[in-house]
Amino acid sequence: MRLGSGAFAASCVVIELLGVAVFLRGFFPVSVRSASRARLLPPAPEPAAGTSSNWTQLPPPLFRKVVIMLVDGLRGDFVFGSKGVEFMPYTTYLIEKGFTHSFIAEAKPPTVTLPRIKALMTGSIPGFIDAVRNFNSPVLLEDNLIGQAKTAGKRIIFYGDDTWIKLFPKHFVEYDGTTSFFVSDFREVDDNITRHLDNVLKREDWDMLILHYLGLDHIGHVTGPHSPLVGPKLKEMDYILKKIHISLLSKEREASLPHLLVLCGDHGMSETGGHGASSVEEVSTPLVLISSAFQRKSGNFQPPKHVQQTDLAATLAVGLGLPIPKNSVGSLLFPVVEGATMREQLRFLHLNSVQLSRLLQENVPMFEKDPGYQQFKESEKLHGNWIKLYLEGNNSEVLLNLGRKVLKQYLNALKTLSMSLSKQVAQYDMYSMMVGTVIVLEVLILLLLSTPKALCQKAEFEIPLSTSLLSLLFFLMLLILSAVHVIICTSAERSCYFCSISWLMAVGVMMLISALLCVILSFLTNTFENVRPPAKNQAASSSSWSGLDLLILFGTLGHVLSLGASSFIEEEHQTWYFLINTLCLALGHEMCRNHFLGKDFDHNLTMEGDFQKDTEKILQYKNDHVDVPEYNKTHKLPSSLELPEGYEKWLGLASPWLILICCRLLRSLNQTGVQWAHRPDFGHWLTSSDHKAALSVLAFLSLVMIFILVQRRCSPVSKVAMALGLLGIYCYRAAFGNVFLPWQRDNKDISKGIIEARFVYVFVLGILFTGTKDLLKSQVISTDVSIKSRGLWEIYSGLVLLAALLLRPHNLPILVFSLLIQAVMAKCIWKPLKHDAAQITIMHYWFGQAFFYFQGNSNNLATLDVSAGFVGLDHYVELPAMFLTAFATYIGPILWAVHLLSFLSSENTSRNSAMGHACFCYAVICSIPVSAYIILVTSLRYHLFIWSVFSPKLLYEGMHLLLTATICVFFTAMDQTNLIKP
Amino acid sequence: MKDTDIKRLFYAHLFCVFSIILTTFTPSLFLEDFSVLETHLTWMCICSVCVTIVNVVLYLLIKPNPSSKRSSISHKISRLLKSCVYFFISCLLYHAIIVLYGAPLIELMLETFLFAVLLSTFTTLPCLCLLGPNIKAWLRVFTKNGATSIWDNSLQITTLSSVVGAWLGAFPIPLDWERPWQVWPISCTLGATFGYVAGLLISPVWIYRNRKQLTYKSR
Repeated sequence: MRLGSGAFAASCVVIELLGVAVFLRGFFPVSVRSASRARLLPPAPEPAAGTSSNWTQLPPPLFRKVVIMLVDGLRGDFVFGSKGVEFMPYTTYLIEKGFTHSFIAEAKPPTVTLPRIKALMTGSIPGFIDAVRNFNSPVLLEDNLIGQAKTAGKRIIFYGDDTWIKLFPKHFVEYDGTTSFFVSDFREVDDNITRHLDNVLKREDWDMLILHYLGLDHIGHVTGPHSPLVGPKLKEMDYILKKIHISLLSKEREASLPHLLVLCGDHGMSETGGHGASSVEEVSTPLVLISSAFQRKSGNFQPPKHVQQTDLAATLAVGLGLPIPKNSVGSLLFPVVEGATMREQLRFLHLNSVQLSRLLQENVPMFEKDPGYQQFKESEKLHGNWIKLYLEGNNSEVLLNLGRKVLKQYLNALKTLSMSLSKQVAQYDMYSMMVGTVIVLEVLILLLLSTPKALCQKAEFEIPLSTSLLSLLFFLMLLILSAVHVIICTSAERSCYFCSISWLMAVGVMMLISALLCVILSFLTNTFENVRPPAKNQAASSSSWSGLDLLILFGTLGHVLSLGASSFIEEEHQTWYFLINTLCLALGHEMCRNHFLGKDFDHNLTMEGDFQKDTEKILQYKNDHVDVPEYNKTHKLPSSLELPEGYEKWLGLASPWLILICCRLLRSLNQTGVQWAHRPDFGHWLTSSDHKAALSVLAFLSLVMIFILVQRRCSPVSKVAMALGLLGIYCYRAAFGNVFLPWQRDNKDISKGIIEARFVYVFVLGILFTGTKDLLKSQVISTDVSIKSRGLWEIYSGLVLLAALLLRPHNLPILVFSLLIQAVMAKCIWKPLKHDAAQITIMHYWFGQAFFYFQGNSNNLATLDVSAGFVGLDHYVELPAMFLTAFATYIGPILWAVHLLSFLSSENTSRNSAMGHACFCYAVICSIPVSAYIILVTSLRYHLFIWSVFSPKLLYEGMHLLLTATICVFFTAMDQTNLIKP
Repeated sequence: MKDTDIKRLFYAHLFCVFSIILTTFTPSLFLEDFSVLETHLTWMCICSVCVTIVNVVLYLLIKPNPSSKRSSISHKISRLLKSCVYFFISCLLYHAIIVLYGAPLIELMLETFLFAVLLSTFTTLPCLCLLGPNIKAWLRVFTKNGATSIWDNSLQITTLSSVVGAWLGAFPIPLDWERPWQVWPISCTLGATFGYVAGLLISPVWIYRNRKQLTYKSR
């Protein structure tokens, strides 16, 4: 089969995308959740062998009022350690005297506030992918304690971190949120909560009070856990606890139920004061339940037991007489219900284990084999027998002992069930990961092997597909792989994604893998048989490796290697800024040499022979690194014939420096990453309300500049559309309240600017439509190449308009600089220096990556700008919102890639192969880091930072590959039109 | 090319390396609590002054390029002044490039500037000594195959290795090891220094090994 390099690369990337998708599905465990989301199941009746029990409803609550006092960043040893004794005397007194049940609750990473609140209130362990899935909707949709309490008619009051208000927007009868944005505020955040306390504690019109104190966490972030500020803060917390406890005690009457006070932390604090990872200090939090209902234990004080943070949800649900949240994997904290009668205790445990076993049934295919489930069935049977005896009026000591036995059995069952459910979340599906990795690696090897052929003049080559499909090896491989698949799937203990898809699909994937392998092998044999003799020639011809090529090669390799270190992933923007700076300097050097020594150059060429030996040595080294995208380019040395004079010359010399200055300015626009993210930057300065006028001027100037830079190659109609569209963008931002309008002084009513945004969308679609029309015309009628390049430019300008709409106003200069740099590079660097398609492609890719970070993106999900998904929509619509968010995030890479296309189509009209080369290079340069990263992540899957650093980057890489696949397909479509014509 | 030339080059370079090593140890005899990492600015000053002196002294002693015909005093002084101006310009240029690479613009200005001075001492100063304030000659030397003597070759190698050393020295900065040498600009200055030393040591060896292929064309 004959294929152009572009089409070949595009199909390779699409297959690679499939591999990455399979890998991601295996890597990110899907969290344990109940499918029956909508309907509420009736509570399970009490089991009774033969007879029917009269307890079919939920048991009544154990506590009348519950106060949850959550102290952000409260570490286990702040309460139970020496600090607790010193600074929290009242709490320590309560614990030691046995008024409490105290535990050390273990939080699961990521130890960040939002997932921890979710875990506390739903009892589930939020999987990593949930964070992504629920990115656009902050409301907690899962079954949770607060929702249950509200349904049951409980009145809930909340004071504290406003994350709760975002999670539960309509659940609180009264609330006051404090924002956790100002980390340096230690007092105000907590005083804002405490000032309500006196009033609330006097009143009787609430059932649940939740307090979330942020001050301690702020102190930790700024000064660390051992700072002198921690002590007074703990004392303050202790004082508040005392106040609440005394007030609750004073209100308890004989007849009514007791109250419950819960002191807990959402996560701990590392020795440096941060949190997020999974060190012991970060995951251990205290959990102290205080109530007069608890029997006072005899004097000897025991160290607190270790439990899971998720256990609190089930315990509180039982305590308040609510159904246990469906997705909870926690088990009841048994000491809390110890005061109840034996029948009640058994009832609670039964309810909890029924809930857990349901969850297990829905998530584990072979749940009957699970030891927890078997224990549960066993104990349910015993429980039924016990109830039967009990209802018959048997009330002897024997029954009590039997009850204790059932109880023990239940507790064991709960523990095992909870364990196996939690394990479900934390396991990698290695088989799917392996399948994905194999596909990705095979594609990469194929791409690298075909590099020399793909980048030759014709940009076309033979792929031995039919021969390899008919070879014996292919069928053998297929047979072996299928056998392996059957063996693995029948012996797998837990659910595996790749086993659960239909066998037809699985066989399809196996065929793909073996076909790829066969193609690679035939490629290899071809290379060894045929290319041996000309290899020497090739080496000789490619002796013109310039410094630029070396820089590109080592830059790519260095970037790939840097992905192995978590710090380099966090600070990946630094790598790219560094690389493009070096690239610009190298270009500047080349420019200088070209201008000043142009005349001497030919003269110097004659001396090349002296260095023949060294160059050959270097070449041998180069040949070892096969993954050279630009293998045998016919890079001509810049000739001195058409040197521009005067003004042009100086512009050319200054252009790299101009680009460098632009990059430096952009770099200080948005600080990103982790280590230096807190540094002040222009972006924050501009967005603060004091500098609204400056922002308005900047936005206006940027829009004007965008128009000037884009319009030069547009058709008149598009020019008008562009101008109106840009005007619409300014109006949109004014309506949104970001910028001033000169004629609108009293903008009190801040609308969402929906009309303005839709107005702009119309023009975007119009310009894109014009561009597409031109492209179709050039393809069908095939008159003129200039129509095609104009069509591409129109598509490009339509995308620029869309980008200008979606980018935040302070980021508009990025678009201007991007257009400026592209114009300058096209005019002064690529054309005069005659770079070939491969080099231009890679430069475009590097700049695209750098612009991705200039926008303020990072490899952390927190910097995703979700607001772009709501532009012009009055409510959340999934598909457009996702598309817009993705586009807004990847504006840099997309615009640079489309610019590459339009640049090549306008420049290299004579060379048909340029487009194919560019597409191929783009595919290779994108797939090298993805493939390397997949292997790295697989080997680092037990790394401490796997969820906080490596996984988000993996998602970004997957998304980037999807983008690359789209771009490559687009490239190929454009390339085909070029091929059809002659 | 004579072997004696290479020998001279080798000894001169060895002397340079020795002087750099001395700058790390001797000052602690005179200055209290001196260490390369903690009082880095002092070390940078001492090192650049020392390297400057050594370079100038070596140049005066060895005189690798036969001096030009016009050697009047006024000509010499003008050359000297011109060299000083060039050196200062190169410091500014390095400073600008470092800032463009992402060094903070306002804070730590002194540190950045001293780093630029150090880098200039490693690269521009030898050029000034060997080639004089003559931009054309510099450009010639720094193009491919532009060297006309072993001194030019050694200049190419040491300059390149110092710059590459400084470039590589920036890489450890983002790592979260929290070491004292990861602070700006210590890792870069150390990188440049190591690069310079490596260049000094490598260039005689490289020239010696390649002495057969190196045939210089007279200008």
